[in-house]
Amino acid sequence: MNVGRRIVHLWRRDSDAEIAEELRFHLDAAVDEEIARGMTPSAARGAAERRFGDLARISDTMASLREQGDRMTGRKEWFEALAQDARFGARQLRKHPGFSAVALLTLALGIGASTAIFSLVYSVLLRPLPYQDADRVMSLGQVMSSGGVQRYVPVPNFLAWEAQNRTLGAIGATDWRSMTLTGHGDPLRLRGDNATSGYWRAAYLPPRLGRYYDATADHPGSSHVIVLSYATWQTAFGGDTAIVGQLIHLDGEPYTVVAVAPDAFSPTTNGPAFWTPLAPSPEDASRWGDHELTVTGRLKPGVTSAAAAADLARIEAAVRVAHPDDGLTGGVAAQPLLDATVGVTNQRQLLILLAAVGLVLLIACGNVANLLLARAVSRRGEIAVRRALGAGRRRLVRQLMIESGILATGGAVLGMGVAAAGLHLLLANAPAAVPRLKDASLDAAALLFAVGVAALSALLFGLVPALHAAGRDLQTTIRATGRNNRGGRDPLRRALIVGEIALALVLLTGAGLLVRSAGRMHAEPTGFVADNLLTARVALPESQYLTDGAVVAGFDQVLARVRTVPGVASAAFISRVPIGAGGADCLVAPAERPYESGSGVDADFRSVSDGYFSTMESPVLRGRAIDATDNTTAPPVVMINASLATRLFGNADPIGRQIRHCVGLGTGYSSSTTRTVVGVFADVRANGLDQEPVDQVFYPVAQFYERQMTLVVRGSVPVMSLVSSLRRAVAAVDPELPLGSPITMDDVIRQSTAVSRFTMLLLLVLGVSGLCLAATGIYGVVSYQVAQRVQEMGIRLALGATPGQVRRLVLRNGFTTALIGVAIGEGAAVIGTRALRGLVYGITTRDPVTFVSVGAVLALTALVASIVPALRATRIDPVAALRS
Amino acid sequence: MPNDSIDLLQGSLDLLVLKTLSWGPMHGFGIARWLRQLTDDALQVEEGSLYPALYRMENKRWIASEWRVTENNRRAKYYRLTPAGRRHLAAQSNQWLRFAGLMIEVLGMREQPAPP
Repeated sequence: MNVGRRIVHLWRRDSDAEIAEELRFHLDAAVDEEIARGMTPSAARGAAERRFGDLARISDTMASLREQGDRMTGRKEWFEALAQDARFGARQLRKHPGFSAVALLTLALGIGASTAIFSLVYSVLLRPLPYQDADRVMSLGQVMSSGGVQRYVPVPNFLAWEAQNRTLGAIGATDWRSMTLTGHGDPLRLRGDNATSGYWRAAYLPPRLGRYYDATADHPGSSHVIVLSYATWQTAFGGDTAIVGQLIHLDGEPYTVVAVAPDAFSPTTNGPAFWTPLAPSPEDASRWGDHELTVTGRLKPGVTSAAAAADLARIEAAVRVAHPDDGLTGGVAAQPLLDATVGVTNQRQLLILLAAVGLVLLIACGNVANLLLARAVSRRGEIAVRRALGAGRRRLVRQLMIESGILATGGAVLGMGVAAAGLHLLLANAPAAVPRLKDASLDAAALLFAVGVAALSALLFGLVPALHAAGRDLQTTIRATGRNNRGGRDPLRRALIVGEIALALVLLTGAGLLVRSAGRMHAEPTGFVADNLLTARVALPESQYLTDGAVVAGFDQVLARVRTVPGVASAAFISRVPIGAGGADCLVAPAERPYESGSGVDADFRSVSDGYFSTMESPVLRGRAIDATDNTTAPPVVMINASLATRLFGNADPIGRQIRHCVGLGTGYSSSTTRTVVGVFADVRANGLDQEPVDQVFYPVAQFYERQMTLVVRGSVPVMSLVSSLRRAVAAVDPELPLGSPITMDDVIRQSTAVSRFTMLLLLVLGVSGLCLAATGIYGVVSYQVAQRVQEMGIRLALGATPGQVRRLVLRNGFTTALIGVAIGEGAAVIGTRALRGLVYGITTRDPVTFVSVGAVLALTALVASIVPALRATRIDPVAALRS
Repeated sequence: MPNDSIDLLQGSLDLLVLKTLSWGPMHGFGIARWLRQLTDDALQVEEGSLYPALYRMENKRWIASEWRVTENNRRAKYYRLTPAGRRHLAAQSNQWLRFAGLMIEVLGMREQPAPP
């Protein structure tokens, strides 16, 4: 603001007097004029006032107009000053390209990384489900005595809820089924859902084509109708818009297509391929205790989820009188479908990542703040001169904050590039198991987040240095600038470094715990050899394979044909491969004495064909493996694993002992059959690498079959090269049989740990980034201290200090700072890594090995970062240093 | 006077003031005197209404003001045209002249023109 404008401004403050003077001049001139025309002075005054009009009103109007004008001018000046500050700031940043580049890059990484992670979190956790009034759509389950939620509800309970609830606008149930689509190219195995008509109203989204089926489909024996998913419609029917009304064949039965669901309908990537009506038969409706339906409800407007849960619990209470169900409390849990879809573990891992990236952002801000503090020192002279010339403290802080703002804006713009690249990379490696992750994008929410983060970080890294620089005492600064030898130990900068090291340590400890946990997990013996092993599904449809004999013969033929394929070393069937998801368990009890309630052991059960153990290279510890002689007519036999053998028979030899399976259930489960134990096999990780081995029972396929089996093939050549010949082999038995999802056993293992590995990898990347940033910070501070103490070092060297002593002095300085940071960080990590509880395997979150080694890594990094400046200190020329 | 005609009057008063100032800086009383003489007292405008118009135009940056001393050694506030004011005057007077020309042409017609 120039001096002239400033004075004009002062005058305007006094606007009332000015207006009065202007008007007085006018009236006086008018009076003079009238007198000149020959009026008496008093008459002239009256005439002049008449000519003028209402004096009071006019001067009021003038005053308010003046005020308005002043306001406009003020605002304009403020903006002009802002623009001036911005230009000045930009010039300052251009003048120091090195500083600006480092600061911009640091911020771009921090803002970019956090935006990329945020877009994942938003996509999975925060983005609403696509359904109409999605916040009213609830997942309904029964509360278990253990406190957990049983998400599978028996048919009769669901029917009672459907008929008697008062709080739900709609309620629907689904369960899943697999069918083979034929008549459209290669036979296609599809996983779909059975859904009651209420499901379409509970999770409502208008159909893409046609109309969803209505309540007439909820009765058994009603017509065969089907709703196709968008993906099925596209891939199997080429998006044919005339599909509605057509007949298609699944498992050999005709179904009329009534609708195509919209693309957005399935929140998960591997959602149902189709929906057919779920019509419970009277027999289904009496299967109490058999948990099989997933229940979705839509709250009536104004009803809370708690009210709905209470309403359903009321119905449960009445039901339980006649049909008590052990293990349940009788309570009902109503959870937003979104939360139920995402799952607690995924939710936690994403939030941990968001917190971790927040820490990296903090470290980045710490580094930029450090850079600014260092620069403030070299700008001390400039700032002091500007203050002496009348720039107020407020104006100086504003000036410095604007520079920070420019940096943050630039960082955000570059950061969007980093975010785009990072998100691309993340999505390419993202585990398919996390629902809705694949849809993440840099959308409006992510942009808004980036802007917010940029503003916040500008405040974080800019405010302290600005206040610090502007608040310095004027005289000491000007005096000190002349001959600067008292930079010395800057507590603020050291505090920032301590903070950065502590944060980096927390990050790395978290990452380290997950790495150690993954190492522990993979070091556990799986109980089989996974190398060059292929798995694929084969399912025999009910319509073609009507009898038990047909099914068993079908699997036999497929296996025989597969074994003739060149390159196949061995092959076998198992109902579910180890590690992979899914499972069923039942109570097993020794058959020697009558079963009494509570004496059974809960065991996982599967069926295997002959050759299973040799194909998997799984050891048989005692007795024999199931073989081809265990056919439909042979006496019933089983194999059990070592832990079940111990549990049932203690140390006694289990071979030849009798057991009963699925005791305490209805007749459908053949509990009356006694089976002879013929072999004991080693424990395997049946339900996942991170799950301890469970008790297991294996049946021969011929004696306890399932319609869908998994083929396991050990290759003598790379096993993925066999897929097409295996497909041909299966088709040679039955051209309508598909070979479902061929995948190597290694991939099965990889997929089972994909989510935690993803979290681990990201946390590791973030931890290493944090470490690098902190190292740069230490390097910067130590270099700065050396530069500040050049004279002191010079004197020390001149007085006979050895280079080694000087080096140690500098190193000690950097190292003590680092050690304080490590100490604080270890403490913070103990608290921070509590978030990982339940996510680590085989260690606790206070694993001493991780804590000690990460602390050592950080201390070592600090030492390395201090070495370069320390060496520089020893090369100081004493003469030059003293002269400068 | 009904409200809708005030706007028109105000606009034309602004234009007259700007025209007056186009010959050089002048104080409020001087502007009023000029207007009176130029229009032969035909404009029955209270002199006081000139000042709100001046202030308004100053807020719009069409004119600027400063205090000067008159020939009679008195302090008076002088107004002058800014470049923005000059542009506004040129544009507005053009519009006025075209409008007035049209009005004169139409109102001056003696015979009904042939239908198109």
